[in-house]
Amino acid sequence: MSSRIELTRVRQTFLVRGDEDRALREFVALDDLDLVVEAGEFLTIVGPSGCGKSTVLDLIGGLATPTSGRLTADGVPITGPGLDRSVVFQQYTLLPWRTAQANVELALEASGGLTRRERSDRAREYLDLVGLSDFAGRFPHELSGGMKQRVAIARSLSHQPQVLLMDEPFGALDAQTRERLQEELLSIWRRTGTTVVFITHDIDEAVFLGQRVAVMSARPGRIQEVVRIELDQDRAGEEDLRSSRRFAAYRHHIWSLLRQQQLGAEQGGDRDEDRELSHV
Amino acid sequence: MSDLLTERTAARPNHRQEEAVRAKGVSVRRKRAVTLGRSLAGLLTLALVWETAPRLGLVDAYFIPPLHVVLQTWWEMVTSGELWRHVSASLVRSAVGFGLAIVLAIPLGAAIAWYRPVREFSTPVLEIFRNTAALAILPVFILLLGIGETSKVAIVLYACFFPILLSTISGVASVDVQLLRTARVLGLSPVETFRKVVFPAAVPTIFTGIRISGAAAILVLIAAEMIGATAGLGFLINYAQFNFLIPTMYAAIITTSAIGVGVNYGLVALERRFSRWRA
Repeated sequence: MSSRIELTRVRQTFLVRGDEDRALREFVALDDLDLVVEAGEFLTIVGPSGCGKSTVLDLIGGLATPTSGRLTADGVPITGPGLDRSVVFQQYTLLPWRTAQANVELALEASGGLTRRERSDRAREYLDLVGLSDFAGRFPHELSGGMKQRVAIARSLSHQPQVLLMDEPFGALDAQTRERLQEELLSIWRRTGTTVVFITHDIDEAVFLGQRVAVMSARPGRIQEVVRIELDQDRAGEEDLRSSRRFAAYRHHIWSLLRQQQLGAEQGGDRDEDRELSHV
Repeated sequence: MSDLLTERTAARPNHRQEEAVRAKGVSVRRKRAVTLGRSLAGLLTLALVWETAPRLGLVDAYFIPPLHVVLQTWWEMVTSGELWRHVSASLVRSAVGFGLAIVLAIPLGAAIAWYRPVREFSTPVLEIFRNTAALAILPVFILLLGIGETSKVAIVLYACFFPILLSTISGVASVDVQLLRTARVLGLSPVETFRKVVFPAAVPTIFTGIRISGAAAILVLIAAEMIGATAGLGFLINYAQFNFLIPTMYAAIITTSAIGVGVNYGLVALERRFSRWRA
């Protein structure tokens, strides 16, 4: 139920129009990025905005193809979207004209091979997994933001993917809902054993969720360091893990990495800064 | 499960909010009653002015007969079946034209919108057609199709076609990119994506076009019937005016308005029914 993902020397460039001369220029989003996600691992990727986090996810999801480099899932090259890899986006992406249940079923309709009855049962099972069985008949506009995201998670898990890719899925939620969903996500992950790649710009979230945290640097996007997190997650329910000393140490370490980067960028990138200012 | 309960509890408004909601609920109901009362009063005023102005000699009672005379004539026409003959002729023509427009414009619009180059190629041409008043090319239709039923159905079709076509194009073209990405991730085939994601998302926009067309269908038809027809409400209005059957003319006009209002209300209700999820 889980795959190993491997990114080798992945480079992604886009053509962008310059601010001054309107000429097309190559913008390097990712430069020689190497990353391995072990089967069944929960990996979080944290980095400043614009560092190419979402690009990494798009590549693994098969929504984009790299300029150069190699991406594999269990050794098989990734060439496009596939049902073995599922994505939860930050924005709510439920179909507003379908109920929660029907939204989950959508994923099963595409994968095929199931009768209407089986689809319905499976959808209920996964809504139950995210604690929404009482809300199966509700339309998205009748659900709170947290509930919508849970439906999206249920939908992504319902076709039993090997890998779950999450692009800041809790970014638009309030703090309490977000923390509760983080805990639920961990328990779902433990139960299903799926490989999870979770993108966030929130250091706390990255440390809390990840077994390893990949810290990215911007311009060009690279993995700066991968931090292994060892926290006693089993006791998360009993005590406030986030205020423990170890948690704080991890948090500070990652914060410093990102801070260093920012300072480095400010010194080295004065010209860049000027251009941005003049553009504003 | 327990945290769901807390969420529901947390989502519950406090006492003051609940009271405010309740108070608002009452006022909403009262407001609705007041609105309805005022609308009826407005209609009644119109009727009253129509009735009294000719009686008091403010307008010539021959050219604008009092309302009760018009209504009397209207009732006679209803009972004799004469009105129905004209109404059904008009309704059949507009329904056929309108129906054909829906059947042709929606698939064509969807196809145009789905292929970006086709869309960019055809949009300016379509804009020109849409902004050419249907009645302006009525002579062309009569020239080509004669003065029979065909030309009238064709003019309705023309008038209805472009609003539906353009709304379908904009509806399909403006589907949320995020939903399309989701469809790709979920492995939906292009056909499935269109059927399950793109088209349902476009329905409310398409319906706006359908509603506009519904009004246009009747408007244009009445005018077309005035030019060349032997039955239909437009013919009846014109015929009555030529023969100085003034109350008959007004009766036909009232019927036209009533049908227009009815069609519009019906389509608005349908539109609401189809876009309930947008709430």
